[in-house]
Amino acid sequence: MAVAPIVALEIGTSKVVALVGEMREHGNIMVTGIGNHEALGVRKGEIVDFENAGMCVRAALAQAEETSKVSIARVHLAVSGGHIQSVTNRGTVPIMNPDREITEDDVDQVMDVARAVQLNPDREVLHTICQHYCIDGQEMVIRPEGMEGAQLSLDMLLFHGLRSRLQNAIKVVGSMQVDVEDVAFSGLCSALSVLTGEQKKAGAIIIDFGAGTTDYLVNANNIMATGGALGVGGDHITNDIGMAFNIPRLQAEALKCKYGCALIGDTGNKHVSLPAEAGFQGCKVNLASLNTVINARCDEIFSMIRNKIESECSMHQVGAGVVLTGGGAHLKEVRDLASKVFEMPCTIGKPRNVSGLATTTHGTEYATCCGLVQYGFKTAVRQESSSMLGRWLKDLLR
Amino acid sequence: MSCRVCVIGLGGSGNKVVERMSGIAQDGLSVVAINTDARALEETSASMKMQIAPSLTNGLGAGGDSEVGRKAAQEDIVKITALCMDVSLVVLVVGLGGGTGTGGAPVILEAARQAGAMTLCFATLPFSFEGVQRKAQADRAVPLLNKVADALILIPNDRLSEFVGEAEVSESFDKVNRVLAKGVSSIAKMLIQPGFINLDFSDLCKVVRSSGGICTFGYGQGQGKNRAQDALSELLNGPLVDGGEVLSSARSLLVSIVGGDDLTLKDISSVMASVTASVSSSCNVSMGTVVDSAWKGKLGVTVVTSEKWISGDTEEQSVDVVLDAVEAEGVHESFDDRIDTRKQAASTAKSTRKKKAARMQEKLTIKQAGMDRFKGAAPSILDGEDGDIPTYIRRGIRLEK
Repeated sequence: MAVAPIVALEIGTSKVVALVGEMREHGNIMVTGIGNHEALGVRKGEIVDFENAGMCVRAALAQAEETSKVSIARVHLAVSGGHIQSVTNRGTVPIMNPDREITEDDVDQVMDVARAVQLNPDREVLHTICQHYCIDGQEMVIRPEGMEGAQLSLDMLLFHGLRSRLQNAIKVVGSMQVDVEDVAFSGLCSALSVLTGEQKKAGAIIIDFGAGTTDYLVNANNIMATGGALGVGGDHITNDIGMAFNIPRLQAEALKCKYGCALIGDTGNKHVSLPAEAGFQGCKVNLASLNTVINARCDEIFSMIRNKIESECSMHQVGAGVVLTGGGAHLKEVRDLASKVFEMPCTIGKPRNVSGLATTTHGTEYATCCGLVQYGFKTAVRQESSSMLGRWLKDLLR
Repeated sequence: MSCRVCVIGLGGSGNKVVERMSGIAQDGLSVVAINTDARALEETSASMKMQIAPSLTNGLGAGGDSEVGRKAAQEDIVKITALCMDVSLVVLVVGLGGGTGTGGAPVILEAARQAGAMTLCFATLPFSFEGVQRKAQADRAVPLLNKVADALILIPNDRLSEFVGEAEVSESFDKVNRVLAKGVSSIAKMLIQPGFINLDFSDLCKVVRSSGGICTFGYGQGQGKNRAQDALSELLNGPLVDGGEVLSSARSLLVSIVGGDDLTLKDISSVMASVTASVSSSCNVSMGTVVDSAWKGKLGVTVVTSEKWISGDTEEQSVDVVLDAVEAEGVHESFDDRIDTRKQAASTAKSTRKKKAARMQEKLTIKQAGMDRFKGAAPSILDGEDGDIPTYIRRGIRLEK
């Protein structure tokens, strides 16, 4: 085994997960260790309480070390938050070669130009992903090397986020004496682990419905078209329920998980009872109202994502429909709501090509971490075979 | 000091309102119904009636023509002036849109002024189902009234349509008249009766004038032990107060509390506490209390608020302002461009109004507890809205408990 195990760390809003994975044949991942701790001090994917968040990371890493029997010195970190956005930039270079044949140097040059986007000084680029080349107005070229032309253009999709928020996440890990090897947008990781090759080709929208954030990524026309994150998620549903029925968070969360439904449906005048507990005197909640609260929030999140996607690309290019993942995908009938909002089929996506320890527990909520392990291996393999950064990114994300 | 008040109901709808008031006539308050239409006048049960210009109209009414109404009032100006002699306040109640009321009101107000009386005018704007013409006629009359009346209170009937509900036409007019009669009499009472904490016409004028003369009122009454609470809930549920919404946007507010000998300080303070809680901090609140032995065990609350009336007129005005600004900058455009600018300005005016509404919504929700979950993090702004506020609140969905 040439490549050392990869440790993926996700500091989520509801939980901190550390996953240790080894590379097996055919790109399969074997999970050898897992650490999972309830997250404290994280809101909407961003760290608000350094100390508590650090404690959770430490606990998760320690648990992962214990189960995998390796000591963790370096991790790959998944980041999310409403501040993460994507932008498409087109770079163009003239072909100077006398015979007008496009060389590797030209390709490298156009990549550099396409990557150079003027961003606000407080923002940092997370990923640069090649979309398509264009030679003298001929669009949708995938490999331009060897072709002829006077002008070469490249569309580059860039993900960027607020530097301070990204640094906060890195600092928390750094305070554990653990290095952060690479940082990846969690929506990208989820897409990596969940989407099949077919889905990528046909075009698919992946929505990672997390606790604090909802990440989305669109594959259309065989490229990554757009993506981003909204700072709302399952945590907001719980908060909405708590406010609507005037009940504590704990009860609201239980209510959401046990009875909550993303479609209002016909529940009649049915009520559900919440048993009394210490500090809570118990109450009855109208099921239809509960579902109305959940429906309003989910509908808003999906509609907003739809609007964002439609402003960037056409929905007709998405043939395989919507793939839902993340903890929020466990919500009852959320799949039906998503297919209603997007007017296309919707499936629940679970991490693929993963085996090992987490098999018994893995569900949609581990999609990001599994994807991050895959991301880690792919970058490592490409870095070995080719020193050119852009090349592996391009191949990896195609 | 005695204060004599004369309430004049002018025209068909004015007559109907004062008809309802004649039952509550009291010392210092006389009620007169004035109309051109002899038959309509005959039908009303008002204590004092006056037919004007029978020769001009043959006693048949103004036929919806405000010009006829104006002439009719002018013809009998001597009679009207005589009526207003030795009166300190003339309250004119008129339904705009018709002939007699719309045309005659400015004339009568002017006459009252000449006679040395202060003038307060209650005018209703027609329902939209009454047609464009009546509305236009009413709109033309408003600036005239504003000029001659010391205080003008406008009540768009459409605002009452929710309160009227599915009622038939005759019934809906009847309901509107009742609301008006209640309001007029409560305000008249507030001005006539001396109180502990006195409110007089100058206080009312201050409130009314601060809004450019356009304002609204609410009234609530309670009895027995919970009289303060009952009166307040009636007040806030009143058709013109719009569920308390009007209070929150009021710029100045006049509160009058009427009670019997048993009126306690606690009653007053609880009423004032709830009223002031629903207005903004910049609102100028004045209050008065009247003790009337006939009100034993009862409590009445009247509020008069000045409000920036958002009607088509104001929108156009703001458009003009913006347009003027554009022109002042020396931008020379073709006529088409100008129209575009006007449209744009209209849409900006609209959007600022929308924003205003959204802000108010936010203000409401901030009062609710439970947002501290997201306290430390930056707010999630989604399309200009605060995503941390529950969607069902922002979408205004009502939940069954």
